[in-house]
Amino acid sequence: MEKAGGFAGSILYVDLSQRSVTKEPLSQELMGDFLGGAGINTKLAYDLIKPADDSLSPGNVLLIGAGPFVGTIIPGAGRCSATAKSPASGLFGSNTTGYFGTLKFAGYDHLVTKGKADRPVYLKIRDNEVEIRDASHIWGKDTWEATDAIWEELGQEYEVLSIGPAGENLVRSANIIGGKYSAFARTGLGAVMGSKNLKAIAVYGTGSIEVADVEAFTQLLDRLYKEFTAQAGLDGWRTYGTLISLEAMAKAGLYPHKNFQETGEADRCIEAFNLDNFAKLKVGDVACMSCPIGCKHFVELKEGKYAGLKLTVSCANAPTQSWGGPCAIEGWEEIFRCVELCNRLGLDYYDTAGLIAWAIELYKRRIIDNKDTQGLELDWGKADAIEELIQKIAHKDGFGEILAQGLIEAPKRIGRNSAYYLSQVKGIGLVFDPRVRHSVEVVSQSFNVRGAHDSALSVTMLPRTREKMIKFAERIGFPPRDAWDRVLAGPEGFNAARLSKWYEDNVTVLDSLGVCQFAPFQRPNIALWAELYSALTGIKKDATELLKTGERAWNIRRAFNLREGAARKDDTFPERTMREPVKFGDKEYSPFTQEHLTELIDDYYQERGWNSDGTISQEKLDELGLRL
Amino acid sequence: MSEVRVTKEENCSGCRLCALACSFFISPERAFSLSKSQIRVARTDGENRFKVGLLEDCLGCGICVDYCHYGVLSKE
Ligand code: SF4
Ligand code: SF4
Repeated sequence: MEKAGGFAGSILYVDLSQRSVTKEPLSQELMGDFLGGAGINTKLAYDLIKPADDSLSPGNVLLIGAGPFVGTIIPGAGRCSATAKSPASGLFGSNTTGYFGTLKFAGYDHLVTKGKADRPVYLKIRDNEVEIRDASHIWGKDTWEATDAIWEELGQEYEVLSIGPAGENLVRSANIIGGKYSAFARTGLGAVMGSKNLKAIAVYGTGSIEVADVEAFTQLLDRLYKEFTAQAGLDGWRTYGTLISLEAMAKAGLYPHKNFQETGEADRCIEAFNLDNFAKLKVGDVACMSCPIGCKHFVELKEGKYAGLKLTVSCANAPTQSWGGPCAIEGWEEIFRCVELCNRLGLDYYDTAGLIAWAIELYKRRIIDNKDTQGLELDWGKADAIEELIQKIAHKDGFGEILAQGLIEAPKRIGRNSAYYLSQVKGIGLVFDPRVRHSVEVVSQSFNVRGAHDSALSVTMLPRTREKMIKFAERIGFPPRDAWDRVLAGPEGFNAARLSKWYEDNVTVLDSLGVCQFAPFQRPNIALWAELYSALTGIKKDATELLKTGERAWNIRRAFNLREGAARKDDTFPERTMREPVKFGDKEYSPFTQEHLTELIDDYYQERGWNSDGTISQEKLDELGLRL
Repeated sequence: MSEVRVTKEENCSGCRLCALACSFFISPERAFSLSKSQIRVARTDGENRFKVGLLEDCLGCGICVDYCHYGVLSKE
């Protein structure tokens, strides 16, 4: 068979220790079994990263992959995936972002970086020309300064991924920032770049992405666009982005407040993150490559304390869920200041805000005092102190050095039973409170094998009925009818644990193809994605096979984690959420019980075909054709 | 012959759908490419703000106008 459509056809391997660069063909087997993007990253990570290799050692491997849809005009097909052993959890770490897709036009589907440079470097990739360049002049600079400097050197047509001081200093919640805004946010991947002395990666390409069956592809594209653009609510998605569901989420109690001690009052959330005020500060829409929605925002503060600040805000709900809720900051000005700091310094909002919210609570409870914080007076919503602490974390300065150790080590450093107050699972900060709503997104935080929270975006965040769930399953094409009795069961028409399996597989498919996983992209039937994949690549797959590839990747992630020593006992929720109730207005939600957790994990493992100890059954491995 | 115009450049989101659609529908290779299209989208001032320009060989077919969902382009 000639080269598959959709794919650039090559993997670029860079060994920073050897200063060597090699280009290898992407095998048919990888394309067929893992689709591309996140899926192929997963398989390569499993094969290349050894259990003995610490996440910050030269042995860790950073994989960046763009799936076969990336570079085409399939709506939302601009998402790239980054993978490595996570410095935050020590387990599989992975993330997607809507930037860096031009890697495909340079001729590569994947960039695999290993080893460690003997001094700061950055990578320049322009088609076949790949250079490991000196970065001593930008080391120490923040991501905006570093990106500007590279644009100045190479031209603004380059897409630039960069780390900030946080990544350089191996902060466990460091991220990678693309084009000054677009983050591979979670699981600490910025520290992996830092540990390799790799400050940035710049790419530009003049190549093309071919289509296997032009006629079929064009027809399918037409069908998809008609269906896609007919959806209600796309204008709202553009104006408010992920804030589109702010009001509904606030009313459902989905914003944890003051370090998960309570749930944010609906009115407070709606007022503190007022949507009209947000719209007033927004100057323009920003989109990932090939996205007709454009849910990102170019924002300009024209007056006040930060007058003159211009920045692109990617997921606008994320800073409200982190700085706004757990740290209790109010108003867009200070929220945007936190966004600016995190984007410049290269820090994940959720884990960084989670650590700071925890420190504030410890301070309020007098578990730590201003000797620990070296004079910093911490309090809820006290933006100046919080912003100072963000900078201290990035620079590992004073008290910030302790928080920079991440959500597993920092409580050990502080001791004094402080771990009880930290909302984390396997070193990754919690986003949703498991006591409040048992949706797929929420419960999957306990057993997620990928790191980070958005592995199973579903429709269950807000109350549903069985009728609606069935209608939706019919529309999107999964779970299959023979699974409905067990998966679409329960008072709201879903079993969150079992349904997680199906959404995780689907999200993995989208991450592998390179399509956005937000709601408008989850509505087309999976069979349509399969048809598009087949027409584009020439590799025939139906809906069932497509979901199987997602499942295959998910199982390899589990195997990766098991190999690192993870076990059933790690699939849990923070102790506090299992002991204390939480208040939401005049309601009180009980602690998440051990019985419920046991039931949930049992159901989930069963749905996955795993053994009750969390290992993967031989039958499942055989079914997926995996020999691990 | 009709002509494509950049009428509301400030609306550009940088999505590149125009350029990619142009290369796919118009180029003889029927492939996606940023550099083989007749419309160029360029970042300005180190921000996510963009300049959009048509090249000389633009056919005026308007496929880019159809694929721009941000109202930047028009066909006259
Ligand atoms: S909806 Fe938003 S995140 Fe998704 S592809 Fe479009 S711009 Fe990117
Ligand atoms: S002109 Fe329209 S289609 Fe082209 S990049 Fe700008 S917003 Fe996207």
